[in-house]
Amino acid sequence: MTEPTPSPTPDAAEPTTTDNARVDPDAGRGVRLWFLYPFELYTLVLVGGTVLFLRW
Amino acid sequence: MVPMLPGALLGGVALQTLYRLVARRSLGSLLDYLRRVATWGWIVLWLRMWFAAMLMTYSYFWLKVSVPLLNEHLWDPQLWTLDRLLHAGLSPSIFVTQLFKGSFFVPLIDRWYGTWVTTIFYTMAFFSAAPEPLFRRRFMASCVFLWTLGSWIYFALPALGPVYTVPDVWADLRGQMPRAQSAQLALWENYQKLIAGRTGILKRFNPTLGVAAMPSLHVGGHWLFALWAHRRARPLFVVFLVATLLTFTGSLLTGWHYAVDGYAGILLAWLCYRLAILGEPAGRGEHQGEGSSARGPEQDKPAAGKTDGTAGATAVEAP
Repeated sequence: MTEPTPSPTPDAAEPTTTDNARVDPDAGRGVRLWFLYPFELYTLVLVGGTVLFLRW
Repeated sequence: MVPMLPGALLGGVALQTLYRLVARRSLGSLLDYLRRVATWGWIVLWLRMWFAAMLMTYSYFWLKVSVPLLNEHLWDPQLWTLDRLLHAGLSPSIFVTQLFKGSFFVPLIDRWYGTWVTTIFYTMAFFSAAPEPLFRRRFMASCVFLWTLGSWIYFALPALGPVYTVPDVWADLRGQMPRAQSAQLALWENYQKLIAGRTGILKRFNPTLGVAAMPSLHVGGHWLFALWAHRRARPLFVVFLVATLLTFTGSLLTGWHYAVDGYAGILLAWLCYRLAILGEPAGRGEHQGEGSSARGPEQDKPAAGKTDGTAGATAVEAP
């Protein structure tokens, strides 16, 4: 006779709604390079390149 | 530009509020939005976006105004010829000026074209005040691409615009477009100062008064907004489509641009839009459609089984 497999207890590990509500909705979002978002990197490269070109 | 930031913030949030009340008719959506705006994550991203916008504006103006010093060749004759070739031998500039001369449309277009900066500023304010971080980052990436790459095309293909090279075409409209004509005079005077600077004597000039025709970023800017509206705020697509058509017609009627400048602006805007979507990928917890799985900020209807607004992936329809 096979022993019944104990069911996992997901409730204990899952964060509660209250826990979720405390999380900053923007935390951990987006692809980042160091602390920059890609759009900021593009801005720095394009603007930086333009300024260097004009000064040169 | 820093003094304009409070206006961008208040204007953007006010326009988003209005959009939710009028286009979506959803108080729940509005309350979700306002809760979202009142988070540090939203505010910090907003500041980062506008910092990027300021850098972009700075670079745009300085490269544009410097073109006469960097590249002396002018492509106006070729653009004029290309315009005729593309339109079966007919110049769109001549066609539009003859079609509308003496009509109420001329002062109307003059007024519309004069409001372009305002429409760009408040539309950027509107989209940058959207709730979804991925959408906002992509939107700003597309703006940075459009105005920096566009100014590099100014440098690669310098052109003044038909009103300066074929002024006789606009002789019949003289006095009917006071805004455009006074701006054209101011830009021409500034251009002359830069031309004089080629000999080494550069007098005082205004860096915001550069002259460049190819591509038309007036047309490109409105079309870029139309593309984002089509993706995220569908009811506004028609508004920006009409704006693009009016701006394109205005670019011809005022003589600022050749028709090919407008086509190039539209193509560049589309490329920048695609580039922004590819180049600003979704991160963990973000959906390609720019909704959010972390909170579900813009649910008009809660996802099945989720009523607290804190979970459940959503495919939102508006920024």
